[in-house]
Amino acid sequence: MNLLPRFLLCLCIGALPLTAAANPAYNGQWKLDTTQSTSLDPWSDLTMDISVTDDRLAVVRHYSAGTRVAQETLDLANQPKAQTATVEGWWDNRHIDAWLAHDNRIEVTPEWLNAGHSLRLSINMVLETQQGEIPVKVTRTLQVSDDGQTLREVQHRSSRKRPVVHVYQKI
Amino acid sequence: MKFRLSLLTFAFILVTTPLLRADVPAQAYVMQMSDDWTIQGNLPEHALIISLQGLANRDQPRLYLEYGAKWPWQITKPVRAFYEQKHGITFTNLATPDAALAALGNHAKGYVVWDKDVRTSLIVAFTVAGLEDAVVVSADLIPLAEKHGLTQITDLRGDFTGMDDAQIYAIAMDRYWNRCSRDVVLWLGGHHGTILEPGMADWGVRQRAFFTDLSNNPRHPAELALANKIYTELDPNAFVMGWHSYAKDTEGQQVALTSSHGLRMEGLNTLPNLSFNAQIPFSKGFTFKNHHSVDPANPPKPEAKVYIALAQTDSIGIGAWTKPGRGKLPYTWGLPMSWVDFAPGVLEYFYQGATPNDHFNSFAFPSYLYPKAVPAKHYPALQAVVRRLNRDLDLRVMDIMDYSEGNRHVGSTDLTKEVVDLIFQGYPEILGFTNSYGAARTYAHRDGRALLSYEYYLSANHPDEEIVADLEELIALNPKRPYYLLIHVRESSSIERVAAILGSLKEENEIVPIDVFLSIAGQAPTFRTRYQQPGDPVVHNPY
Repeated sequence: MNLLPRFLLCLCIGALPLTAAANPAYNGQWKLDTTQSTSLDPWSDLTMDISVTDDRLAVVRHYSAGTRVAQETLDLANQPKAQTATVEGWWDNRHIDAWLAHDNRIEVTPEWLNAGHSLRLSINMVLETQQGEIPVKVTRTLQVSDDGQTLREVQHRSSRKRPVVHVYQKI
Repeated sequence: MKFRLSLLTFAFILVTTPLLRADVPAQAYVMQMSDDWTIQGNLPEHALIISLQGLANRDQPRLYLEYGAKWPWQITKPVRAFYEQKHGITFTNLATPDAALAALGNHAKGYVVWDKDVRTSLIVAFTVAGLEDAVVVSADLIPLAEKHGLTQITDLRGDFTGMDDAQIYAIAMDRYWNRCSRDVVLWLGGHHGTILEPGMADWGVRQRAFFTDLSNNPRHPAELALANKIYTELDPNAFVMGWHSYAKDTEGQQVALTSSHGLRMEGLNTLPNLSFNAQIPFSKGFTFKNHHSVDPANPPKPEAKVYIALAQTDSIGIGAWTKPGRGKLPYTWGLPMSWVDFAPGVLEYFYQGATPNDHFNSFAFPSYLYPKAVPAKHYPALQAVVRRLNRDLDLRVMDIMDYSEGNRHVGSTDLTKEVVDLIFQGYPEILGFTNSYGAARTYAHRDGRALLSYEYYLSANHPDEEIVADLEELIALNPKRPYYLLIHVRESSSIERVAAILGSLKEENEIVPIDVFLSIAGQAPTFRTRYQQPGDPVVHNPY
């Protein structure tokens, strides 16, 4: 049996995440629906800008609480490989004494799943706490609804038992 | 040297005598304020009564005001009951402004008219009230004032029409500033728009203070210049009392600025009855006795577990003190130490009502100042006041807060090593220190004394199940034991709620009094040493 066709098939299947990378349904600005989401406190508002092309993936989160604002910018190559990114800070939980270490550098692997329906961001970061530095793994899985108007993100942190669920509406 | 000491003693007596008088009256009046503080509602009558209170209480506590269910300070009724029970004061109710003027109008020499179309004119009117011994009235209350024999002293109607606040206060300063106290200025900020909440105005009238709500925001340079003129011309370490305007600037902006002048901020604009409370001394034989849980000769032994301590550092009278559940858990309460001078009877009320689980803590400064913003030259005088208050109030644990370069969302609320040095050196009698308001990352220990920042801010708005997850996440992120989980509880959360949350934690833990917590931390410092770093983010709390 000639194995070459099977090998090529495997290569094509393996390449699926790459060829499905530019799902235009993700593009745009998304506003958190706080009524359907895990509590955002101490922030009161969160919007997320997503820009996807064949080459690049940008995910920018804008947090605000009155006049207090913060931003987290992820600008990545749209490839399923680990990439080092420097962000402005770790704003997911500002009630707890945990801060991004290593000059705000994190490692991010973006992957498109389910033929481009889902986007997974696998993040390795190091947090500074009272007792020193500790590695934390974060998985952010994003999925756009069929009508393209709702974006649901489920975040799991290795340090936290409860997932964080954010539901966004397109604006 | 002896002569110098005598002069200092004499000066101290001069300063304190007007505040503290030993004679408690057998009779006083009480009046109920409504919850309507709108210009078109009850504010004009309230303003009249509060100005009258400042005048009537100049030399004796005659008029006490009780505030409504929505007022930030929920202690006016229990404190009055305490005065009745402890000091035997009999209060006679005054039902209307008419009755109040009939009973106490003789303490005013006339009235000043403010303009309901120019809200700021009421703030200026309070300045006039203190200087001229006048009650403040809107136009519709003139007949009432005149019914009681009062005549017009000043009419501000039309004086400020079409002007902004910088123009109005520039005129007010030209007219009145030279005659006003240099020991205190009143900031009648807080809520803006159609309401004004001048709960502290009685004190400013009594002390003949200048009233304002000038902006401390660099975006308002004309107002900021006037504010700086006031700060510069006040006496050293004088008082800025009241609160900033929510419509103009931020708490961080004002307190950073006042701190940079070494001035003592005392909030809030809503704090009631100072002119009365300042004249109710401690009851005979009373001494402050805090609930200490640490015997320095036999300190508690550290164990390999999670230690939790709970603190409520928002001003004690606006928090959970009066809510159900107090005493169920060990709590430390931030004490407004300066009330030894401003409201000694109220402090006695708090001490008398403390359960064995209620501990009181000190602050790094005698009033609200940010340590990073205070110039080092002001530390000795301010710290000397704190040491006196620590002795008087039996305080051994100290809380520190600095919002000059950040807040609990962004920027940094951490302390530099230089500031930590000044605090450790300035307070050798203090067992341990807590820092910040929200979570922060300044940790230090010296000679068995620990300084720990809050690990968690227990928000009133966060769901209980998320708070439990947050706390368990912190415990997971800090694997060494003992782990020191210091929690700052927002004042509006009841202790019942906090007890239910902490009861849900899975890992073995012990909720201990703050002095036990810090004593153990000082002996077993599993935490790293960290101070604010040059690269840490700085945010100056812009509006």
